[in-house]
Amino acid sequence: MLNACCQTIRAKVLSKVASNDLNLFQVQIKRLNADGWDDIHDLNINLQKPGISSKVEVEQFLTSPYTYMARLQVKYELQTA
Amino acid sequence: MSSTAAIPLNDVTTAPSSSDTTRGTILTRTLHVNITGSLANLNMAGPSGGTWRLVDGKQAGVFGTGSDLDSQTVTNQLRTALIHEVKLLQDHSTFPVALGVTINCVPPTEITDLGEKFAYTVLPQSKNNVGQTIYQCDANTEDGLQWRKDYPKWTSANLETEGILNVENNPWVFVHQDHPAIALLRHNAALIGCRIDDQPKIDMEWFKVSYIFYSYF
Repeated sequence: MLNACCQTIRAKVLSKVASNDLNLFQVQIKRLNADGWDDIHDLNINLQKPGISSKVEVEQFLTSPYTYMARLQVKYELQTA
Repeated sequence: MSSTAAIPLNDVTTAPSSSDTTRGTILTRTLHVNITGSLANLNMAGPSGGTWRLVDGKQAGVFGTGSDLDSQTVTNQLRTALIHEVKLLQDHSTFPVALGVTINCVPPTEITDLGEKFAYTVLPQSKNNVGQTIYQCDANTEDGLQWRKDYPKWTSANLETEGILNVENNPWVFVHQDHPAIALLRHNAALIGCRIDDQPKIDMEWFKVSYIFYSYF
């Protein structure tokens, strides 16, 4: 009974009601259009250095520290009643 | 790979207006997101690589209203938050490759040629100081307002756990009288063949309900 009620509520009501769990808020970066972070198939394009192929430069490409920083403003509503 | 904690920079609290009692408290937080690592380290980190999140236990302090409520109450409030708007104020990437950014509370709307979806994308080695609205929702839909007014504690994720007392090795559970399933049963008395309000309550607030639907239909 409870199972059927919950499924009905989800399908008929909650599918139209937006809510978010801010306890789980997270931001994740991924590399665009690549198999993984260490994908080097388009290294020369990404580095804008055509012909790059030396092992040292590939090593440097993979092991240099990089940073992504962002300031995000989030406006949200909490039910406090 | 590392990430730094969020810094709430401002906090605008609006009391519910008297003419609109269904609205909650509206707040704004500005978060500083910082993700650092080499491509090799990010790769080794696996699926969770490149992730920034609040330090465990800091969520209530950062996103809560700042009132004297205990952390468990605030945690419950955060579970049913409604995000009105997310803005990217500034960002800076030293990565030599293009990035896609996902924010788990925000639907992805930017799409690459391979069909990957992100909240937004970032060009290689770029700096952006122009604000951009990443997400905006219509918080005033009637269904949403009514649900948040009537069932502030419940979301799609906790329907089977919030206000439910499981009894091991039994096919039934105790359901709190305020649970939305009780309202559903109340409005479908003819369908289920009985009136939920005629059933005895345990401790004046818990109904005994079978978990799986057996008969009636």
